Amino acid sequence: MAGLGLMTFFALLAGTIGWASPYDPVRIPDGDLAALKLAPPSSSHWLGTDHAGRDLFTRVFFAARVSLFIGAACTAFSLVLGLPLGAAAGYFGGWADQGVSRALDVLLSFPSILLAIAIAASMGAGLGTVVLAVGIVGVPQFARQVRASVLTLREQDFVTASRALGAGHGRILFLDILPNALGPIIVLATLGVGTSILMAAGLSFIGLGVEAGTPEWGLMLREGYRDRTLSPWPALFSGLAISLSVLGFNLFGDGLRDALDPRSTEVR
Amino acid sequence: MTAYVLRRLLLLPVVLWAVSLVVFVLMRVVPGDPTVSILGEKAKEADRKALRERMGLDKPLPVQYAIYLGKLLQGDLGRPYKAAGDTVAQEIRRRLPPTIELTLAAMAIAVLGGLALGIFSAVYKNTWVDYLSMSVALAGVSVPIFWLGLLLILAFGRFLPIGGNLGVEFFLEPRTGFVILDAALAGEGEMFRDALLHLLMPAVALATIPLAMTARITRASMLEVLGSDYIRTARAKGAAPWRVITRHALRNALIPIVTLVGLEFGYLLGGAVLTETVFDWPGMGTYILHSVQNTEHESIGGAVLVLSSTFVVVNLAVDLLYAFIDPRVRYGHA
Amino acid sequence: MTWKALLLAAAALAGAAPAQAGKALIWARGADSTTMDPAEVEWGEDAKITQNVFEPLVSFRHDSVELEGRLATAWTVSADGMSMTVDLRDGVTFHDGTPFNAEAVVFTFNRLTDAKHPQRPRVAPYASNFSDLSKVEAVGPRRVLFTLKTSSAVFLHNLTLFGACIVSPEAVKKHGEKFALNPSGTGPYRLARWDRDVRIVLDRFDGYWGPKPAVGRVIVVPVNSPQTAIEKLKKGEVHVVDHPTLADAKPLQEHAATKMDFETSMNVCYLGFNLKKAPYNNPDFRRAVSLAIDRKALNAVAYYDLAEPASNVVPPAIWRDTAPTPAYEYDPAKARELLARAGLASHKVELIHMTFSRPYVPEPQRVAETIKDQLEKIGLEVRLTGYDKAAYTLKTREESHPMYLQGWSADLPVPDNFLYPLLHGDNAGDLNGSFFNDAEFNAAVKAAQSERDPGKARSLYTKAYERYRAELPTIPLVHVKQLIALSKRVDYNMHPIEYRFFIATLRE
Repeated sequence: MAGLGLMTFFALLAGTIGWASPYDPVRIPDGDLAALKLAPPSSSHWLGTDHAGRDLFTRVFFAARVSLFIGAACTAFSLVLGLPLGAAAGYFGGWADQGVSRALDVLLSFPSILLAIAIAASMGAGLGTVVLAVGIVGVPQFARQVRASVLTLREQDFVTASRALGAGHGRILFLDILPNALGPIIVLATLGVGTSILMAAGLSFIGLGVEAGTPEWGLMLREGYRDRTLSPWPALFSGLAISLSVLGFNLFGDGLRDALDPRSTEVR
Repeated sequence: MTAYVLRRLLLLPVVLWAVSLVVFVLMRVVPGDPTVSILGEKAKEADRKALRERMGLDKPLPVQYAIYLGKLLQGDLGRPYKAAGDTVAQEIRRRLPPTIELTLAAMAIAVLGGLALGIFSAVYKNTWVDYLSMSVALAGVSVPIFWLGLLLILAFGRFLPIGGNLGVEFFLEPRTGFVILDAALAGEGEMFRDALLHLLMPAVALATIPLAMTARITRASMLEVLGSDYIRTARAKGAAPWRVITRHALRNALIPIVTLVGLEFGYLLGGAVLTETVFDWPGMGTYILHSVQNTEHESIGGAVLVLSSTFVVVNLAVDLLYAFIDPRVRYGHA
Repeated sequence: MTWKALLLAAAALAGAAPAQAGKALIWARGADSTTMDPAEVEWGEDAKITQNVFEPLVSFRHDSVELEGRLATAWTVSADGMSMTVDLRDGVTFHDGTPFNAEAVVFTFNRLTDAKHPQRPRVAPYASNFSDLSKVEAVGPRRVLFTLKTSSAVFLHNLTLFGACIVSPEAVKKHGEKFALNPSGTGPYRLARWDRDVRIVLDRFDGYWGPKPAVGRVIVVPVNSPQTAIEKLKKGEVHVVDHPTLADAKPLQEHAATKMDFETSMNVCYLGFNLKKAPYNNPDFRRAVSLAIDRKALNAVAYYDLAEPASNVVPPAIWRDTAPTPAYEYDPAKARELLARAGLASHKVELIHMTFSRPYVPEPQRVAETIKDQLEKIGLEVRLTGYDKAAYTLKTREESHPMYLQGWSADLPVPDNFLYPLLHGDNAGDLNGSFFNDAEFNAAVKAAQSERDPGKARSLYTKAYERYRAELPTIPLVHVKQLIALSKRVDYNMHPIEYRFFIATLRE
């Protein structure tokens, strides 16, 4: 349960950083910026400062809020679209299945980051754009997972029984099948948060992510990358934060899967 | 079985057509007006309008799509707006080999490294070897590729070349377009070495995630096989331990691994976009990014079409292979 | 094949350090050329090559923006300013061996301006600079007469532009559209080889009329990322990086093998307001924003202290002895007061910005974030939206956009090159994204275009500046120094406008 530990660590610090730190995560400090900016780690700035002289420790943990929110929002978006699509395809089969599956094939055939770039480029950078772009890219995975689960469940005895008792499609789908398909979906969603954080960071890294100046790990990594010859710290710490949080979600997702389905051998 | 294969094959053109449609929409969804990048910011709207008319960009979208599709069917991917005397096909011809080279190198690292890690983990299950290997594997899927790239550059940038696929001092007449192959064919040892060194860091960075995935599935798959009866039988009959593992267990554990490797190919093509950006690799990823930024509709279209078609075909091949190996699998059964 | 390859690999990996570059000067830049036909040139990377392969009639001195004859030896303007006679240099040949003469000049300009010319280039982005040209005639083998539609003070400067570089008529006729791949000019370098996306090789032109370049061969390589290019510079793989980031200036000055050269700024970065939209059309709002901007902090956060605070949209090196432009006031307290009085305290506003680097905004996100910070310090609430290259230019031309970040690099070192395209009513909705359309300003700028008396032109510009300063359609932020990173083996003095490979020297 190291995953849970990591997640709690980030959540705790993100929650308390507001009053625990004497520094503002967003405001550019007054004073001699040339001296304040890109300082190495010290006793007053544990992780050093960024390009605008802000405390990096405060920013990294404040950014956990933004990045975790993005991860969750993107996953929710994918789920909301992917669930009904996958359920319909799996439950009704036939042409509905063919249509949805081939559409997903097409969507999957584009390198995902590319699709996200195209969407982000057309809408302009910003939080909403990131959620939309990364969310859409995640739809096929959820739809496929749901479809596969529904496909196996609908032939099970209890479903047949329910059908024999005259239950309608909606009732069967929502009351009989989906509750039983939740396990793998929860696992996928947990892993999806990690993947979304990575993808959103990728968008920020090429300049199409969240609003400039937002404490968000991908954007901070981008800024740090540009200053790497002057100070490697901003890039190092923001990248480390991304890696550790994604690792947390992956560990947690793995643990969940083992708990929910000990036989499972599937890898992501 | 035959019906299944036939149906998937018949659907292929439909899928490719849909890809072309999405590519076209994507080309037009990417905002901006190519006349801006051709004529510059200073150009007046009137001049740009005239150019748009000359280029046929003022026609209704369905008409533009019909023209585009017509050209595609003749194998014509179009021309870049800005680069004089070039065609999209020529550009892709230059850009695709480096991406394939990078992808194959990453694939090789991922499969070999992943198999090794996975087998060791499975054999020494629940020992420190297992924990270490699986921690490495899990870390591998959690690290952003561009951060890893940065770390590699910070750590090894002094010793290894950064950027491009060949040192600028080397003149290489492209024969196949694959730099390593061309250097070998030309018999240029120094150049061959340089090309290999250039490939090292980007390939390692790109390989991390698929390596981790391969390691995890290898371990799982091996564990399942190692627990089965016939392995116990083989062991009971006194076969050497490593012989059991390599000859009996691995062979049977390979099926899911092969499937995964097929899927990873698509991931690698996508991952190449970010990796190529970090390492300035002259491949399809940087080409697409550059085309998006410069509103090169036909270049974006051509590049995405080539990549996605490759992906679709590889996917289909994997699906068919899988269905062939494991007859229980029937996708889309009625 | 495999065994041979493996053996090679083994032998090679055991081998020596990478070979040092030979005698050629290796010049790294951000992207490859797209065309070598000067008439088609629009962006800097294309111009870099054509400026060394082709020559205009008139060009700049090596060390300043003063004009001197290149292919012209003398020129006289008629008393009414409506025509100009140009004498041409003798004994000049094109790279294809054909002689340079008056016919070539006539051919070049007709090809550029005549939409029905049989050898018209695919596009001619700079043709509009010659829209006031009525006709060009050869009045002798070495003499050309330009006739203008209106008296123009900038025509001579226009002759320095890429599009006005003289091309070999024979080569154009021979290659047609492929002339863009087979350039033939009179410049000190000729094209030896172009491997697309890989390199351009320029060799010294032995038949050059002037002083021969010190370096016999220049290899121009595209290295997209500046960071990568700089690593190559430090290792000695390349000798020049013409697109270093501002962040690298200091480390490169301190590095043992590299140095930097700086050149005075010929650009401006400014904050614009859409005057057609509230609250940006409110003069008090604009004044408040102007008072809120701390250019010193902006310089530190976004420009590594390599910019100078701007008090004018025209850079000082171009404004020169025209009336002085006092610095903008920085007074956040007063700004708050103004906002409160205008009823705009804690108002929500939006700023759009580009996400790609430009010479005047190498770090657009940082400029945007700093301005947002400063405006929020006076109580406004600011939303930022970034757009990529293709979208941004169009975005600033829509009537619905809010505040925007924009800039301009001079292609001619004259005030008109900034004032007319960026602020004149003629260009509202084009480069003038503020839709600024002030009658007095328009009249002064227009009059200055044909005013050949420098004193009178200066007072017209002063007048225009006063209107600009009073109305605040845009607020100039900074002028950014131009920089280039060099190997210590290279001597090269950056020119304010052009890249001149032919003045570089390379020591062993």
